[in-house]
Amino acid sequence: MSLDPPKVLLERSFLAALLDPDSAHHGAAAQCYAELVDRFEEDEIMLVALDVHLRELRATLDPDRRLRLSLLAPVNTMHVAGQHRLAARQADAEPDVAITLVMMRWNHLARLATFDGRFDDYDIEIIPDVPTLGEPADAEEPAAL
Amino acid sequence: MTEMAERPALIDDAPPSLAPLGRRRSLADVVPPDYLRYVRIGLMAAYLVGYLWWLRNRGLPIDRISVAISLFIFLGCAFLGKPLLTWLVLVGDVILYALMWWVYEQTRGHADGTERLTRTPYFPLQLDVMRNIDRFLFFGHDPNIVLQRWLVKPTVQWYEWIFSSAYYSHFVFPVICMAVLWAVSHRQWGRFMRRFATLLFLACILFVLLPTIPPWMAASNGNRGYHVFTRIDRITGRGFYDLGFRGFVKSWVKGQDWANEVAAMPSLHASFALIVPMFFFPWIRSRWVKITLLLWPAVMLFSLVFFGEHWVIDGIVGWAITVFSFWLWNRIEGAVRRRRAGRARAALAVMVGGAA
Repeated sequence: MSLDPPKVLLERSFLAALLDPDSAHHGAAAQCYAELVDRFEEDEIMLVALDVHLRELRATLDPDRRLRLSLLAPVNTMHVAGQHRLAARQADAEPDVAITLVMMRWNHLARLATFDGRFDDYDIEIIPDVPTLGEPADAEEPAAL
Repeated sequence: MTEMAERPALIDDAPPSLAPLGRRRSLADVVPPDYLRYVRIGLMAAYLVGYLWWLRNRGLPIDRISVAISLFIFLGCAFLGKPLLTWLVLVGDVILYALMWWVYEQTRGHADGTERLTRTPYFPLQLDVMRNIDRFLFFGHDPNIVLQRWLVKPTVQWYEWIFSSAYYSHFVFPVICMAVLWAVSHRQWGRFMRRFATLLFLACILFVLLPTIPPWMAASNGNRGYHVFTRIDRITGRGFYDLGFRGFVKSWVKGQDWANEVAAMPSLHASFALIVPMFFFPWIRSRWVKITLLLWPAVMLFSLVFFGEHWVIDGIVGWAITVFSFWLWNRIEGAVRRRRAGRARAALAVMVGGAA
């Protein structure tokens, strides 16, 4: 039993959509984040993000530092250490996906906020429930074999 | 942002599955386990066995430094193999923890005056006020005297095992609580320590403002020249020894000048006995379990009065500062959460507005 409220990990694609108003998923990310913030305020959940993802986004996006800091004020940073990278190299997944999966398993995180369709293959709770990157919104049902 | 009220629920109880369940891979199949976690659990279990052996054969560590050493050994087991940054945070925590106790001991130690040989408190010694409050609460009776007359016998009685153990649990359970929280959740450790440090701070203020003579010192056999009561027997440790324990490890205290025998108001025994159950109440649903846990502070106060260590009002004030520290920090932490959420909402409104 964890003493902390359930943690929601905000993955890179979710953060990128949230921070980039030009992103196709910005609206969905903002809507989902608003609900997450409501639940954070009620102390029902904790919001966390990996430091490697935040650093990466800071280098690429970051139009306004103060705005970003305010937007991510409820988010706690989770440090990715050498042992996590080592475990990610041994994981049976693509390297950038693997580091997220390692952090999720080792820190007992069950929920992931992402728009990256590669996480659909894993038994984790994904939010928001919208078509993810690489998954066309109007995709047809696969033909029955 | 105007459609916030109509926003569909994005997080519901059922995990949204975007792939057929049968094809989704478990994280355990993909990610190697944290092998050091099993080592840490094994070491903590070994520590527990070692601690119990030490308690039985060498004695209960009760002075601050012995307790700190045992705590640091536990933390070494609990944090073995964790990332360097986690260790740096732990070192910062330990420094703050040690500083908190040092400030507490110094303040408490000097609250009864600075001269070692002729100690004179800065404020008048309290005796009659506390005794009169107790007599008012108990319809003209002195609860210490009544309990001693009823319960003190020439030989150790079974109830002394309970009361003596409750009294000495003061030196163990809050520290165990801190250690476990430290190992399990840094966030919860911080929440606990904020409340704990606040009640220590308030206690120190009262030690300075209201130096209070405890009941045992007010008795004629207290060797301090007070003759308020004819006799109070200090049999606090009798039940504990009778249970087969060997005593206490307090050799590190020798040579220190931290003792303050007139720091009776408030009772930190009562405070510490309440802070642990109060802290865990939000995770306990059963009303009966909560009531059972509250028996501990009740038994603690009864023990303190029975053994003549404290006045009843000392314990009540001890409970009051504990409740106050929870009330204060619940408000502050709620305000901080609201502020962080408010900043995020404001930034979100700017971004969504900008995008529109």
